[in-house]
Amino acid sequence: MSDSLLDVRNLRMYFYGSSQVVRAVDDVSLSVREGEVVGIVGESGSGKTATALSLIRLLPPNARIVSGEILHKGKNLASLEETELRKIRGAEISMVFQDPMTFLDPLMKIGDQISESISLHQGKTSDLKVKVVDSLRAVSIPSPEKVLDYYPHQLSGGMKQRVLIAIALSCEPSLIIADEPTTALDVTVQGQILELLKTLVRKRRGLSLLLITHDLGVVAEMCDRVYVMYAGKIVEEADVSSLFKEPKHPYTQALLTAANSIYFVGREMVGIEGVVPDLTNPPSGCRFHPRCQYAMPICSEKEPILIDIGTSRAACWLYPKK
Amino acid sequence: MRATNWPARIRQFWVRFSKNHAAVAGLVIVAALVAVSAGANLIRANDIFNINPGQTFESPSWSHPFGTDNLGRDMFSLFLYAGRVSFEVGFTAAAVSVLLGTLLGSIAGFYGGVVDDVIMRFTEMFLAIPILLLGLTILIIYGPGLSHVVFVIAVLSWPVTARLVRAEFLTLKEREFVEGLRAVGAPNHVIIFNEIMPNALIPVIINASLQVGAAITVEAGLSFLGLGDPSNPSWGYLLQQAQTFLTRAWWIATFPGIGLLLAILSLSLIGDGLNDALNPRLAEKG
Amino acid sequence: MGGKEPSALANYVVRRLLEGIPVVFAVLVLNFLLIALYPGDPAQILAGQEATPQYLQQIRIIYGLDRPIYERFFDYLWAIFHGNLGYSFFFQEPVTSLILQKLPATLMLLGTAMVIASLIGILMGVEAARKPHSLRDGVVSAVSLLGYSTPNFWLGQLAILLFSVNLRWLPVAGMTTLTQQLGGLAYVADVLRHLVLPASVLGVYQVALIAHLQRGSMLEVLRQNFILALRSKGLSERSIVYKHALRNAILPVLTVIAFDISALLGGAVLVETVFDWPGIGRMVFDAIIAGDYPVITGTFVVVSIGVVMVNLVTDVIYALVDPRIHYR
Repeated sequence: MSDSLLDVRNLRMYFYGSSQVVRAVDDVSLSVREGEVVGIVGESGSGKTATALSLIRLLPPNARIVSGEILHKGKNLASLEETELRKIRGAEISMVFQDPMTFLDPLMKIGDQISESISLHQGKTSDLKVKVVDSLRAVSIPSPEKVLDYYPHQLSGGMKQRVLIAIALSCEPSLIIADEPTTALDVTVQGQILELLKTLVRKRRGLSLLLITHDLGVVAEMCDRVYVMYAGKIVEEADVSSLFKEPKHPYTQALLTAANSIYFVGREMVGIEGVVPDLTNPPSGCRFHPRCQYAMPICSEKEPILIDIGTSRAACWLYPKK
Repeated sequence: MRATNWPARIRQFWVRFSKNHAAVAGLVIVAALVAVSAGANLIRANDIFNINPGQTFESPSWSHPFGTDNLGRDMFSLFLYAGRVSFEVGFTAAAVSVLLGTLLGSIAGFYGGVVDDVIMRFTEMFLAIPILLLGLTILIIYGPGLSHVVFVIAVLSWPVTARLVRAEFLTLKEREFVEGLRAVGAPNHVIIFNEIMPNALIPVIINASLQVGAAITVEAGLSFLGLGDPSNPSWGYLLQQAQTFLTRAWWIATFPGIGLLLAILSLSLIGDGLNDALNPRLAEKG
Repeated sequence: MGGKEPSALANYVVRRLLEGIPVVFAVLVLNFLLIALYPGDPAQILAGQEATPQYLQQIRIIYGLDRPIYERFFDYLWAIFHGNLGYSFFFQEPVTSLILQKLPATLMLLGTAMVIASLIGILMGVEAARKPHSLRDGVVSAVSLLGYSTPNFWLGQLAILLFSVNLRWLPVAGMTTLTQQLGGLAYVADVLRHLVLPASVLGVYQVALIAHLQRGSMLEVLRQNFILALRSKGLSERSIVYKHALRNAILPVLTVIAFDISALLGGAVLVETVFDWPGIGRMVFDAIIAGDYPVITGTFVVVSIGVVMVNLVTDVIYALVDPRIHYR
């Protein structure tokens, strides 16, 4: 995979509590190609956000990357010096977060929050203000010259998310990691933000998007390729049409069924039966086996690995290795 | 929510409290200081007013571990007696202040409306006024003396407790068990004293040990400014006396101050421990 | 929407001023009642123990002590509005001019202590919060607990014993060296040398308080989501902490500091007494010893009004710095 922009190999990231270890990301491998929109989908607690934060090591002090590589343009981000990593954050790889209400500094003007990124990575140039206005315009914010002087509390949720996207875009990164970028927004605004992200990826050459979501609807609309995560592991990888047409892993199938029933009951969330396992002490063998309707004896004994099944890959004992 | 099994609760309280080693140390120090001060007569029979012109300004020795003062009095005996006065004032003033604060805070919180407004305006006003200055204004007009000092400290420090109790009342009275009792027609005093008060008192108890420390501090300050009672010298009063001989005898100022520091520090550590033991909401977070 | 309208700010200031009036009024009433309800001869309180019998008689006439209490109250208000706080027989001067004369020394002491303590306290609190439960955090907590628990007048005595008596580094007391006639820079240097100990001692409690508050407030801010977003922009921890988090964390701390100004003033009275610093506090102590009541009641009134003003100014600063505050 020489055209990979980001190549993650066997990544493990654990949280260390006072007496226990949470294996939030457990042997995850994934890749993102240039210009591609890749989704990571899973229930909350599946480790998808932890995976996203691990990629640029935005981790709390009690978290540690235990092993694995995060290769980006010839550099291994997993072992890079913190000072070197800071040059990549916001410049090469930037992030868009879940709740725009709380991810902007409440005491700083919008314009300053954008120019801060630009001057950090590109230096203080004379056309700084032009660049700031351009990045606001790029995310379709009306009258950007005025918005520069606004404080975050003067903007609506959708506008704030646009500002956060503008900040993420401001240094022309090669990859944007978006963690549930629309979950906290109104339904009508959700569509607009997704549309914006989609156009941006299409228009900007060399921009890729890694989209973290629990919403299969968003996946269907946005992604080229999808990883399904469960309990800190990737259980299935597929291009988006195969995933919806022929889901291989029982967990993916269950997610799809649940998503369809969500469709029927409107906005009421209907999950899969059972609970996401406790990652301090995950089930033996396949981690999904306690909730799996096809569970066999081997499922609790040996851990399945990802194998090719047609155009997809899945980790499940239902598919014997040929 | 109701207290049923007291021995078990007390044991549980102690288990939690004793996990905070600093708090246990504080408790031991305060207990020791209170014990030696209370037993001053047994430990040191020397009359504190016993003036010995022949042994003035003696530095600490075996017979006078804390030295002697300008009148040849044994500073160790004075230290013990003064400690008793400091603790007496501290505990009494804090008790009166906590009672007053609890009473006013619960009235404000329970009845709400205009009553609440009036009481809270008073509370805010008292919190905004420079306490030490008002205290010394009252004392200089009405004369010093221990009971006046206790009164002044209590009257000036109740707002802290009142605010705590009011806040607890406001949240507790909305709870289901209180509304249930209202619905079956339980009289107000039953609701207040049997149901709300036991829960509302938790922050008050946590705060009480800090109040004792604060009262001891304020008393020391007032005594240092010459508003103490010469016939009942406290640690602050001793420090006032020491000021004159500061350059001559270091020990006169040093030991009473250590007494004050240990007492206030320990009371504040005990407060931390009480908080750990009685405030499960915070304990879980930490 | 954008900026704040100046008229809105003006309205806010006026409304906060109006809110201060009841407190000031209450102080005046309290002060009046303390004297009026005195079981002995109120003339004695108004005149002070040093007063001559003639002046006592004069006071009885001026204050019309035989007249009804409400009439006297209005006279009292009238006098105070005209800046008349009575006459000090001990100092042989009107109380108002006495206070004005002593005020600069006290403000210098308070100001120095406050500025230095704020800088040190904020720095300590921030550094402690950056690594909670670390050794550094433990040291900050211990220092602030000690500072909180040490009576400042005793600390002052210890400082005199150590730095002035034993080491002879700094002067024992006062604001200037009385035996020397100094001019210009030498005079300033002399005053500064006298200022070091009292300002440091007064500042210790403030350092303790501010470090503790700043630590808590900073921890709260560092937990917020926007900190994560700032890290994702590639900012260094230092600029996140000192450029963004500190600004957000400092406002609640400033409010508490301003609210605690009355404690600081109480502390100043004690510290001035220990170091014989010629300010309001020392004057109050002398007045206590001399039974000079007008000085004390007058100081109480002036200082209380000062405290109300400080709180007002803080609120206005808060509103100016935090764009989220609407002047409702």
